[in-house]
Amino acid sequence: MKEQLDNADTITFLAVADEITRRLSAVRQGREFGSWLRRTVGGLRPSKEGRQVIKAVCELGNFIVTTNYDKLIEETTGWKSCTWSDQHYAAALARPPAVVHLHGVVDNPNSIILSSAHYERLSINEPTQIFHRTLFASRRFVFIGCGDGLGDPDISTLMEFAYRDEPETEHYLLVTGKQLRRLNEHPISPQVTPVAYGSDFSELTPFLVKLVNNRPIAVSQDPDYYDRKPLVAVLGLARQAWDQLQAAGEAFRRAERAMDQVDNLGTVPDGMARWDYRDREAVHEQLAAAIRGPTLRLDSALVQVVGLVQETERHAGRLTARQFARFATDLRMMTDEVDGLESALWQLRGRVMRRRDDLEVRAGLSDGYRIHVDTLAHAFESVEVAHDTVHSIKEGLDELRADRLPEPPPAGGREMSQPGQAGTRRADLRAVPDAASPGFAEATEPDPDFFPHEVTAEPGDGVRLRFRSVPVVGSIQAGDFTLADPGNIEEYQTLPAQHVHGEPIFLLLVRGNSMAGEDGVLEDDYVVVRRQSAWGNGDMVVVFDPGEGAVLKRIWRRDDESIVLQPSNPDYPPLELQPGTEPAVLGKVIGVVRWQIREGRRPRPPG
Amino acid sequence: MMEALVRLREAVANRNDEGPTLTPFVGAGFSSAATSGASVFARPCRPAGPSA
Repeated sequence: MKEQLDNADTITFLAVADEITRRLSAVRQGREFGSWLRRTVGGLRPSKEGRQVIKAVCELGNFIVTTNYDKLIEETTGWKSCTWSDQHYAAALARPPAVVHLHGVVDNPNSIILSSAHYERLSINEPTQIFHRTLFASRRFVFIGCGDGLGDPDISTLMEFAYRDEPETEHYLLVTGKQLRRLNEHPISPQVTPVAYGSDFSELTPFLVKLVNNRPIAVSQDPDYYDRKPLVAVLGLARQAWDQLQAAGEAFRRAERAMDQVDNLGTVPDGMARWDYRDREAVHEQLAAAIRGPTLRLDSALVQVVGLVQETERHAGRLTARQFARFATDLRMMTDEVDGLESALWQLRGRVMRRRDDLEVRAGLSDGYRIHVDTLAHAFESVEVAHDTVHSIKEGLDELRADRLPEPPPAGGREMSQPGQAGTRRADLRAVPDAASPGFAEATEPDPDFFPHEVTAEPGDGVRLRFRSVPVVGSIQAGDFTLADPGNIEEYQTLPAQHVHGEPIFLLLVRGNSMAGEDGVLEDDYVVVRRQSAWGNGDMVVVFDPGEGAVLKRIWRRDDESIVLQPSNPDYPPLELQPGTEPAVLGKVIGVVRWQIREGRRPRPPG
Repeated sequence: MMEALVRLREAVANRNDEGPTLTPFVGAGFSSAATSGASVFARPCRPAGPSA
C-alpha cells in the first residue's frame, strides 16, 4: 500500500485509507484502529526546530485550523484541541486559543476522518457543516504545509462555498519557490494567493519567525528565480560555448593545413597543356570538406553563446563576486579564442578567394578547370559563413562587454604594503564592465527591495518625520556578496529620509580602516551607497575587485588619464590602475551611518 | 511579484487590529517539518489545477 501512496491522487489515497480502516476495524472489535493511530500519529514528537516553527505559527492567530490528527501544537503550546465530534465544538471559537481539528484528533479514534465512509459521515453532519462553512467564509487563511494543493474532498468543497459567500476574501498559501510557477499558471482558487517562503522546507521556520515579528523578509516571488541555479546556468553555458569554440578552432587549423596543400601545388602554370588539372581535384575537395565541417561546429558555438547572453542577462546580477570572477575568466578565454579565430578565418578566406580567382581565369581558357572553380567557390562560401558566425559570436560576447573584461589572473599580483604587517597582501584591481558586474545589470529592472520604502511618524505638534528603510546587503572587503540578490539582504535600517534620497540605495558594513583618515569612515560604520557606475573626480566609491569583492576608496583620474584609487588613511598606499583600464564602480557613497548606543543615565536632580 | 508577500505581511501586521483575522491552516507538511520529516499521513493533495 505504501507504494500506492507515492504520488497518489485523492482517489487512490481514499482507496488506501478505506483498506486500512477496513482491515484495522476488523481486529479486536475495532480497537486496533485506535491503537494503530496512537502508535503512529500519537508517537510523533516535535524536533527542536519544530517547536520554533509551531510557536511562530501560534503567533499568527488565536486559532489554528488543521486537518492533521496529531497534537504537536497542543503539546508544545498547551493550547486545547477541539474537533467536530465534541459536544460544544462551535463554542470553542469563543474560547481561544485552540487548535481546531477539522478531521478529528488522535486521542479520539471515533472523530478521525480517513475513509470514504468517514467523509460521508462528516458531510451529512449538518451542524458541523454549517460551522465549517462559516469558519471558511469568515476567516482569512494562511495555508502552511499544504503542499501545492488543497485537494482534500471536504476542504475543496468548503473552499468553494467560501468563494461563493465571500469572493473578495484573500487567502495565502505558503509554498516553496519551485511551486510558484505552476500555482501562478493554475491557481487553486481565485481566492488563494501563493507566497514563496524560500527554496526549500528549511526556510519555512526563518520565514515564519520574520513574518510574525514583522521583520523584513527578502524572499523572491519570481518563479524564474527558482528555475535553475544561476551559477550552473551561466557558468555551464560559458563552459559549453568555450568547448565548442575550441573544437571549431582545432578543426579550422586542419582546414588551414588543407589550404597549405593547395598552395603547395603552386599557381597553375601558363603552359596549361603541361599541367593536369585532374591531379588537383582531390586536394581541392579535401579543402572544401575541411572548411565545411568546422563551419557547422561554429553554428553550435553560436547557439551556446546566444543562450549564454540571454542567461547572463537574467542571472549575472545574482552571481557572487567569486562566481563572477570565474565567469569573467571564462569569458576572457572565449573572447581571446574568438578573436584569434576571426583573424585566422579572414586570412583563410583571402587565401581561398585568391586561389578561386586564379582558377577562374584558367577556367576561361579550359572547361576542365570549371569543377575546381566550383569546389573552391563552395569552400569560399563555407569560410564566409564561418567568418560571419564567428562575427556574430563576437557581437554576442561584446554584449557582455567581453572586450572590457579583465585579464585572467597573472601568476603574481600587484603587491601593496599592509600597515602593521611585515608582509604584503595582494591587490588585483581590474576593470569589470558595469553592465556585467554583479548586481549591476542595468538593463534589467532592479529588484523592488532596493527601492527603500518610506515611513512617516507624527510625534505631535504638527511635526511629521519621514524615514526610509534601507537594506544592508553585505560588507566591504568581506568578499562574497551579491548586491542584486534580495536574498542577500541582512536587515533594514530606518534612516532619516532627507539623508538617503535617490534610489536604488543600500548599505554596506565597513570592514577595515583604510578610509579612517580624513574621511573618518571607521570599521563597523555603514556606508550609504547609491547604485551607479558613473563617478566624478574625488568621489568616494565602492569598486568591484574580482579577488576581493568590493573595496571602498576615493577615485581620481589624473591628467595622463591613469586612475588612482585613494584610501584616506595615510598608512595605506593608493592603488593605481593600469593606463586604459576602467574601474568597475558599483556605486557612489552618499553617506555614512554610525550607530551609537549609549546607556541611559538618570539625570541629576536640579539644584 | 512581491505584491503577494507584501499583502501577507500587512495582513499579519494587522492581526491585532480590528481588521480581518488571519488564521493559520496547517497541513501534513507542517507536521512533517515540525518533526523533522517524520512519517505522517500524507493528506491527499491533487496536483494544482483549475479549481473544480
